[in-house]
Amino acid sequence: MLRSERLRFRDRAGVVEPSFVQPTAGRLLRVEELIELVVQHDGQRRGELEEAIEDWLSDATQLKLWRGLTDLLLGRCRFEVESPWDPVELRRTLFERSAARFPLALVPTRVERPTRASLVEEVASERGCDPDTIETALYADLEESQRLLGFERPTAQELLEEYNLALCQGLLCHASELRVRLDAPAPKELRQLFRYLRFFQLMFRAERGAPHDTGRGAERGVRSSIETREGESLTLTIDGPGSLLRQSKKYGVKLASFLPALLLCPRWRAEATLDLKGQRRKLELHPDLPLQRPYRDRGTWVSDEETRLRQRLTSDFDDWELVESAQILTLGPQEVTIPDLTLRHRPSGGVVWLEIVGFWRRDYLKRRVEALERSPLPLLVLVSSKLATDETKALAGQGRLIPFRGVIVAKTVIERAAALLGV
Amino acid sequence: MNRFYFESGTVCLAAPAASEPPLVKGASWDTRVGAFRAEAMRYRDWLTLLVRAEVPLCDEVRAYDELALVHRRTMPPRGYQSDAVAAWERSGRRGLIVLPTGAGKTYVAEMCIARAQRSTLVCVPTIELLFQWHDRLQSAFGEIVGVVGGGEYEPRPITVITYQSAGRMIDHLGARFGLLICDECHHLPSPAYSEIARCSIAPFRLGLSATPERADQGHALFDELLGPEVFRREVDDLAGRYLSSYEQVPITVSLDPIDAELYRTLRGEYLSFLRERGLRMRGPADWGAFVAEASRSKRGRRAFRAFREQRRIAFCAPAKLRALNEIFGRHADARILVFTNDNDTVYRISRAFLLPALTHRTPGRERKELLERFRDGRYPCLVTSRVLNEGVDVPEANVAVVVSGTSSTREQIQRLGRILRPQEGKQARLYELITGETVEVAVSERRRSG
Repeated sequence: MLRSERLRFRDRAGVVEPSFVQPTAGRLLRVEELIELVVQHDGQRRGELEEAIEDWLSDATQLKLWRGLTDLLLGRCRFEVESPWDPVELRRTLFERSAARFPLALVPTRVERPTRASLVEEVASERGCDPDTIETALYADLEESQRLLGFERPTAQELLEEYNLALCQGLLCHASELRVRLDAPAPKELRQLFRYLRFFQLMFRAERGAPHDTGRGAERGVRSSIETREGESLTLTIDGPGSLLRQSKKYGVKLASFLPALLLCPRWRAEATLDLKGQRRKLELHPDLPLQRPYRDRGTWVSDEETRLRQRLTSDFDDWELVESAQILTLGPQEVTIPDLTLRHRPSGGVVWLEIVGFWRRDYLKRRVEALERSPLPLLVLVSSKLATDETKALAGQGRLIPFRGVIVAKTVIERAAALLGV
Repeated sequence: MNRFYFESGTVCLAAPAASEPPLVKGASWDTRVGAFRAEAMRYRDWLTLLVRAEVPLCDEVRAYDELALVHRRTMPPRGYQSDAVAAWERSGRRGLIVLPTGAGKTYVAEMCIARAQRSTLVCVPTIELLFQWHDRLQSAFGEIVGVVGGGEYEPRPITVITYQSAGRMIDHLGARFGLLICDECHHLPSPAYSEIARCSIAPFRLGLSATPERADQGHALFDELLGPEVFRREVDDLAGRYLSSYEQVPITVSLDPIDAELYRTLRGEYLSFLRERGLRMRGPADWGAFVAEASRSKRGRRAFRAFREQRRIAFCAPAKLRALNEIFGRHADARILVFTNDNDTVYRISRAFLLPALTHRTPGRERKELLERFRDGRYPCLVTSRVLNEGVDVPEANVAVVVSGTSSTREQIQRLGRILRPQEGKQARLYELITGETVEVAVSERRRSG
């Protein structure tokens, strides 16, 4: 994330347009030079590297851009203290002795007075080194004295991509609220998104369709489920617990951290409310911006068990069909689940949701069981018993929880679904 | 039973919407969780309303303890200190106490903690103050004092924390303290730090400062965040009787010929750039304009470097180090503090004389050791940038040397002077080292004339 003073954007009638950097051939070349400059300073002092960059920048235009790129590069560097002794310990030795002979003479004097140089020489000979080693080691732990000992070298292209994302994140740090519209979201995408929301301790309000202003605090009660039909959209308003009481930038950093998770979704638009130096501004984000996903999409992968179950359910049971849609089921305050599959009983039109849980942690399972006990939703949770058999066995008595090992038996699922709907 | 609980700097009441319980100022219904929510600082008021209306409650908010502290006093309180604490008690253990630097604010805080007997969070602006408060409170109350900030995280019944850490962590810590103390509380009203007061449930609050007024009128917020001003004494009320006096000695140093020449060349380059661009240097706003203009061109950046170089010569020329050496010789048995404007100069002096340096970059364990050894006399001298400026008490310094100065205000110099204590038989001294034939003379004149 770029620091405030590095942010480059244009303000068009209250809407902020980030000044993204384009990977032109000339610019890529310059960026490559800057990267090479860092590589050349391998093993050298941080101060030297920063000074070299400062020199290199002295005839640059667009200084803010280049300083931003420099920040990102320095973030990829590993600087470490390199010294034969703990600098604090070495200083203690010198300070103690200089205190005993206070004040040291700067240069030899006629009256016999201990000099600075004689003290350094004394300590050097005790430690079996030359005085210069002592001079270097004395403040080896200061930031500018630390050595460059590792560099995660990006390509010029990668650095520019990182820059564009860091620019948007830097702006989002000033956000008080983020509104996200997802078009026809798939269950796996949604689930991944909610996992990140939970991770960053953000809060959301979900609405079907396009956003409309209901006014804060107007609606009372928590809805039990929000369903999107095929092709429909879903709007999430994301902020933190205290946002209800006062608009603040308090959750900005969390919203910025959440942005990469949003980039994993294919069809979305987002709009953030920013507070830039006391001015209210809007930032619009969408997949057409030059923003790359910084990490791999891990959440939308489909397990073999699920693929096989899908095939079975589609081919073997005439009365049942799979419906392609995404639902957010509310299990409690800010506790939601997004079922993997929706099973519809053709004759009655009744619907049962299936959630397949391959990997889980104990507290996750516990929350699920409690939620099932509380909630009357027609939800079946299929839990892999590969991991801890004791627990899943104990849970098997729970009617809406089906343990499976390797293969999910479609017949069992249909029987339980039928029992739930009473058909 | 309705659950009343703390969540991320807010308090929530999980009552059915239709039950319409009494609401405190600013509370509203949160559809996201199906509960009423208010800022954590409304806890006491809201609880009072709910209890009065006999709403059945399960209060899970309060996570702080009543303590049984014994205040180990090192000395009897001064009259005005007792008066301050009494005034704070009268206003329901809320409010601001305004006392000048050196008047014993920490001691007043100790007395307030002993009265309140609740888990206490003390917010301070700097790492130095963090460790200083920790040490003071530990010797007053024993081993129940923890520190959060400066690389440490150990919340205890009495916790000292930096404003910066508190701003980040108050969402989690907000329910764990019944007394909130803000030292140098003029820092509190900024948007980020005011969250500390808003997100804490502490019914008892104390603000301490010598200069609570803010240019941005932020101090108007104190009433809401900490309570009203309950007590104030100015320097003049206490001078002579409680605060020591000192002698101020300006020393003018002439640059060596080579340095003087270099200085004039560099300064010329900087000044001609200012003239070319029609810039003038009269205040902080002009400085901003210069930096902006200088960063726009190669020529400008050269001028900026020239400016920095000439300033370095003026602040830290060899002639100045020699003058410093002379002062050391004159006060070889005193406790000396050397103040500079920037960290570079601190380290240059530390290297030149092999004397301990204290800046915000000094590692925590070393910092503590340095202050300790300076206090008990094992180290005769400490070189520091402005970090010791604000409120830190370094009790036994007899001599201060201000090595470099831009246009600091008279208040700042007074502030440095006030940390001085006379040595037996000698008056405390504050030296100011000024480089002759440079701008520093003008700066220093300006300072002394106020």
